Amino acid sequence: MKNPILPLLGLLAVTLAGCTTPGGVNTVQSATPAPAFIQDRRVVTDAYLASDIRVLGVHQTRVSGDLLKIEVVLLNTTGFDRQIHYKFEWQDSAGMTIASPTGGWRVAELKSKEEKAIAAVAISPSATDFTIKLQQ
Amino acid sequence: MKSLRSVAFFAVILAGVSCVLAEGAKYVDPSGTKTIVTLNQINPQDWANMADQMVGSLLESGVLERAPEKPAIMAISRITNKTQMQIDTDLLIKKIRVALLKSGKVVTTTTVAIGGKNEDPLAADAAEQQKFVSGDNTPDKQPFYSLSGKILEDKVKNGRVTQVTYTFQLSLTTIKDGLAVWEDEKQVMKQDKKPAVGW
Repeated sequence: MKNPILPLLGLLAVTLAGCTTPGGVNTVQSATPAPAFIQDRRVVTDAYLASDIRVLGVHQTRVSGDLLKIEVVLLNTTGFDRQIHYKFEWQDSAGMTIASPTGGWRVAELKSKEEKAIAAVAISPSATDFTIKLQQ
Repeated sequence: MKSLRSVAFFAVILAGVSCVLAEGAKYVDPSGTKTIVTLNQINPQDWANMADQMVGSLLESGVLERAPEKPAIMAISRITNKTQMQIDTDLLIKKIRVALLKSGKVVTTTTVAIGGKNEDPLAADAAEQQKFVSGDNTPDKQPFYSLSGKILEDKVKNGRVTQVTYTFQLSLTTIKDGLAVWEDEKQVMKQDKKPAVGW
């Protein structure tokens, strides 16, 4: 007697295989070490997201004289293409969040095993600190 | 009697299910992730995203630091809508203006515009009147920069998949020499797949 589950399992495997993207992303870059990441503090409420999309580090600089620019380097550790939502928030020296007319959640797409940088510039010179939020 | 009781029972169940399924109007955060995404429209989150990217690009370029007077005065020139939709380009430009004003790098004039169509005719008239009464002959402050741009739409279809691209192009021109000192182009791309079965 043949197991009736087997063909179904086979069909499921084929379907799932169709959903995945084979292979990761190959990269070539300068051998010179990149500038060090700044120290950051992380709060993880979604352990799966933190494991799948790893934050490798944060770069910080000033542009246009006095505006804070932040770049976050992410790595998709999974074997699948992933889409995540992210949001930058800016705080002044008193810790107050600076409202922005252009702020909001954005979408980033990372290929399997891809390293990708997401960046933002604070619109106010009073921004001295930042928060980056990541969501599935 | 028994059938009446079952009808009443099912009516109550149905009412309960309807209450659970009914989705009335509700507030959503305009900058959140629960906003509606449509293929054939530029959604509020698209405007905000484009304005954010454009402002970031402009501030990062450092050109605003080259203006002799700070904050630099900017006039809004023509923003051409080349899409098939009727859109108010202020949905993009106003966000950019507010962000640039907050940056302290730029102020926008509301009394200088294309064809003399001022955004604020009252301010323009009042300033003229004041100058006439006081006999002040000093020339008005003129904008140093002009912001112009275009919004384009491109639609392609491949099988059941439709892809719409909205392209946003902006240029910042130095008025005294007519040179574009900053330009950028950003895109919003959306895809929708029709179901294999159905309408």
